[in-house]
Amino acid sequence: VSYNTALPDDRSGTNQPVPENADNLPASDLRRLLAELHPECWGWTLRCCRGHTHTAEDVLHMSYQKILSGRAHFSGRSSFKTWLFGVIRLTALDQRRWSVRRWLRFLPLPDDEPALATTGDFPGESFFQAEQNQALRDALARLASRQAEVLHLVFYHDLTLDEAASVMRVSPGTARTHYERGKASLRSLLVSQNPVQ
Amino acid sequence: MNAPEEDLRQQFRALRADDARRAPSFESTLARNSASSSVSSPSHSTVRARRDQRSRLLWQLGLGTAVAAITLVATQYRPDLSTSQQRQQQQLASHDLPAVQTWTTPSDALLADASTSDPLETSAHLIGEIDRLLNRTPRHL
Repeated sequence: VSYNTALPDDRSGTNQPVPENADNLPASDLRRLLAELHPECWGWTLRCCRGHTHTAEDVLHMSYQKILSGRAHFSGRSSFKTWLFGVIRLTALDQRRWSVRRWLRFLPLPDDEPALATTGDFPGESFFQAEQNQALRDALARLASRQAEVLHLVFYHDLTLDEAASVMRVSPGTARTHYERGKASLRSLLVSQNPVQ
Repeated sequence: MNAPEEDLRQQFRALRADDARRAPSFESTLARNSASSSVSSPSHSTVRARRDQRSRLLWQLGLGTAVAAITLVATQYRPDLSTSQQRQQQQLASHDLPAVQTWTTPSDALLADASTSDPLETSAHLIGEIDRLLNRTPRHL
């Protein structure tokens, strides 16, 4: 398999190549691509799991398993990253449904853990920056789900609106609407949280 | 890209850097037990059993309360079972007809006529009643 095309997410600094004939992608190459995209996948999985780290780890693990076992098949119709994010999103939705079904049947659920909080966890992290991150997380949590998703994909992962629409399985027009409304809501939420800025 | 959007992008980048610092390694994620297996892990079995028992108890309490509330409402509710026909009959019996049935002579009917308000309706009714009374009148009268 030869790799001679760059993924469209060069802006994010990953620079991993995309296979020409993705249908015949061997497991070792898939594994390498997944490892390169892992930090970004983690961020997206956290978003899909609403900041719950244990659930996010489970979802990411299941997504990788799906891909490496061939249950999720990359056909090359979109960029690898876009496809991978779509797989993670659907796996997170499956996981949520699974949890609801278990809850309704009185079956035990995975350990609940609080959503990710950052303040003061790392010595090198300035308190101001930690507060800003937390404010952004809180504001995103208060946005409509689709709006938060599209903003996350565009600003956090540097995807284009078309790519974000592909991940979210909506039309580009719908994605643009969510993007514009979400941006306005996010600004007002951030200002209301910190009026000094 | 305009400046305010760039500002948002910077904030998201800071968030991304923060998340990346906390990300588990690729190998550990791949080697992680799945959610279904972690659920049945024996390390937290006692805690989970207690939680299950508690949630089951809450469910049963909620269900019992709902059933009791519905039963209470059902027993307190007394619907008006009389049909519209029965109501009409009751109204007629308590209103005009008893007076009509007490007439024995045409003069009774004429006296009753004076208290009614609708002359046309009453006249037609009276004519009918007078005819009925006249037909009932014994032959020697």
